Amino acid sequence: MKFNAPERLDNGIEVTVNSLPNLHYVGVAVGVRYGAIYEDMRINGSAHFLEHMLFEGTKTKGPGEIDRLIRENGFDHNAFTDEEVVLYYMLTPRKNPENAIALLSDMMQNSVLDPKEVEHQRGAVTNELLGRQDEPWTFLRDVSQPIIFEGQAAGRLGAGTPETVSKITREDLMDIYQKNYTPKNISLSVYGAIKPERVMQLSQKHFGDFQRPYREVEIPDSDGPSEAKSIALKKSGISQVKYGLCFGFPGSRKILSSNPKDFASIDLLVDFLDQRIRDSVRGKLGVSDVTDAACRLGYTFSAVYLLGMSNPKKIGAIQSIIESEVDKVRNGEIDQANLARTKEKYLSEKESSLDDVLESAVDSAFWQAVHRKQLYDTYQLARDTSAEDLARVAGVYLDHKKSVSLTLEPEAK
Amino acid sequence: MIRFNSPFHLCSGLEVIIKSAPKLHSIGIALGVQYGAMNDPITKSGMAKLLQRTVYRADKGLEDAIAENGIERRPFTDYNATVHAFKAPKGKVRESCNLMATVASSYIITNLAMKPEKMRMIEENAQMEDDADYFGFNTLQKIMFGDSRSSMPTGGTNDTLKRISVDDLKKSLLANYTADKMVLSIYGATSFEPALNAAAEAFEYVNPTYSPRKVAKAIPILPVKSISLDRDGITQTKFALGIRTRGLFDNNRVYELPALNCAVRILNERLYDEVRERRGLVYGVQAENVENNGFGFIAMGGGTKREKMEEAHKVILEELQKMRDGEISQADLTRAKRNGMIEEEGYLDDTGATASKIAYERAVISDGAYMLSDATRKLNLTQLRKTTAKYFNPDKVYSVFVKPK
Repeated sequence: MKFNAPERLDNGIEVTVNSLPNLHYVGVAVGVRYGAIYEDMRINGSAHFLEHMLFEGTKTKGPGEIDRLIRENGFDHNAFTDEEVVLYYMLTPRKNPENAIALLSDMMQNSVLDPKEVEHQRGAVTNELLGRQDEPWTFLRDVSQPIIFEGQAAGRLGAGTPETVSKITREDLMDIYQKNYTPKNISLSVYGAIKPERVMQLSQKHFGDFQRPYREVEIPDSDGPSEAKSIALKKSGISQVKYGLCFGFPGSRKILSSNPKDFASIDLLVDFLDQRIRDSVRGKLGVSDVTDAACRLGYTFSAVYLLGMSNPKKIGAIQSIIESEVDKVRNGEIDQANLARTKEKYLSEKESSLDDVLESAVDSAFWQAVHRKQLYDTYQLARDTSAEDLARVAGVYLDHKKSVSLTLEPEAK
Repeated sequence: MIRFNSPFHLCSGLEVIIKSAPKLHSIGIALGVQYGAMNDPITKSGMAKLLQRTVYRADKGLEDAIAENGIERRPFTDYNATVHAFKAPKGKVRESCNLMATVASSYIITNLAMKPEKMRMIEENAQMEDDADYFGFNTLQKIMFGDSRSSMPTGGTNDTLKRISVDDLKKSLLANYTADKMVLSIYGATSFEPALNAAAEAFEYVNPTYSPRKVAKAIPILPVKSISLDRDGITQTKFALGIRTRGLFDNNRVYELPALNCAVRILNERLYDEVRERRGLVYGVQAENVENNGFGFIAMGGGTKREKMEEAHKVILEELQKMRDGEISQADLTRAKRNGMIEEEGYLDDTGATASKIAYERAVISDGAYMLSDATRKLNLTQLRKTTAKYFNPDKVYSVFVKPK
């Protein structure tokens, strides 16, 4: 499916509506085009810290009031920050999406960043970061980013470190808020049981008067590693090994201008590799579901992660299988039956996700905020992508001469 | 509570519940089996979960057929039940029912099918042991329930898994995947009659044996304990706190179960406000009401800096005491009930999750599921306060603290 293209309010805010009247809920998501790649290293983590602060009060709502309103309205809500975007989202019963839109609008325009709340949230954010360090997979994910994109903007951690967070001031946060939470950086997406006219009416009512000067910023591209790297990290308190074969390459900003079809094909390629690796590991090692594959397709950078986990005796074999399956695809060894199965599964999942209101609202806001457009029609992609396309894309973007091989091993006592 | 049509019973005894929502984009089909970790012999813990996974391998080509039909699988096993859930594209109700019936009657289990899944569970257990939060909760269950099945993880341990044979799995399947202990629920983009016909044709011959439902005995109450453990490789102190409650099927609990659900919802709001927002002591602190066949508890957990643990613990216990003392308003109760209903309605857009929920509830508590819904609606403040007065006792909290070494 392809999400609808947005309409723009006069102040530049993009509003995307996907109306599915038979659903029971409405998902509302706001994407702000700002993230770690734009941060000064001194204040790495400020985008994420600010995300926390937006729930802590506005000119008309004191500390705790936003949480109270969320509970009174029965919203399911959350937010996240990554390298390129901050996303705020709420799932609301269809009778009161206006309250969600109004609340998000107030947060975007009128947050006060109360100094006492800044210190409370500093504690919450620091604990979040410490928790990430303690969990082996998130630890690996966080250390991989600066390695894959060493010296590049995408190498900055989305949420910073406890050290950088300790030094961020309220003035830093307010500066970022005023300069980047501007209408032209904001995408509003509404998905589910609501009519498009109603969405536009509510958007105009609550976001239409939002004015804040827009500033042009330099957009830093990250192309990924220039040579292959192999790094072994150690962590105490674990017994199992985590492994990642990672690839970094440019984002849609560069790829779309040269090879528009490639970008969409990478999505299908990762699904294909995921299945191939799982089947191969089960066939050769007799163990299932110890691998995973993920990709992050961004505007200024992209990455593919092929992951494995096992005990120290088996991890080498899993590593070899992962590398071998990538080589096979690069060499065009793609079974048509497997490709057909991958496409069927891919299409079914996309079709089924049409009923997932919150995920769809978030995806739509993400695509719009990050890529500045809704990129491609997934049905078209699945229909048109051939084995040759996958092989070519694997050859270009999953280049083993520019891969990063990372292992996280138990530290010997 | 999501209200489905009244259940049908096939000739075999299988209960079938269908709700048609033709304008959705997918169909959820779920088979709930009243067979969970509490039914495993303690020396062979993990058997219910291993069987749940192995049945997909027993019939060669089953997995391929599921994938070729674009079906997403979401099975799970907990202490009470096993649910095999599919989320299938529109137009695939017949295929999905046939494949589900194959899952339920995968009698030809071989070592070739079992071994990879056993190894996978052993790997998973090892991965989970590396997670300090999981370690904390596992330890909490051990101090609360001692050497009983309730303290064993649903995935068993390496030792118990290694003891499970192919014959064990076959016997379990024959004894438990019987029509009288299973519920099939179908929800989503299908009309009623085709769905019922598909279910009837697919499940006509699936194991019609009858055997009585087993209700687990209640686990004895052990002395309240607090333990502190050191662990390598972590920066925060992780805490896991628990309060024993009664389990499912206790006849004295008509209003207690909905009251505990509401009370825990209110408790979560207060912990968020007091521990995280007002004091910045944690990123997340979560309470959950766990209700199982024969045992129940309220679990609370999170992580904080070592030097802040005492303060966080104190605040949590203070909030429990306040609720014990009845500091709960009608507005709190109204909001908790309403948000519970909103959350349940939200499921209606996820066909797989809805079918799964219905199958699980019907398999585990049968008509009790509807009684629970009515009891929640009728719950009043007096009943809620009576329940928190009984259970929210800070002196009865079991505690596990996992500290950085």
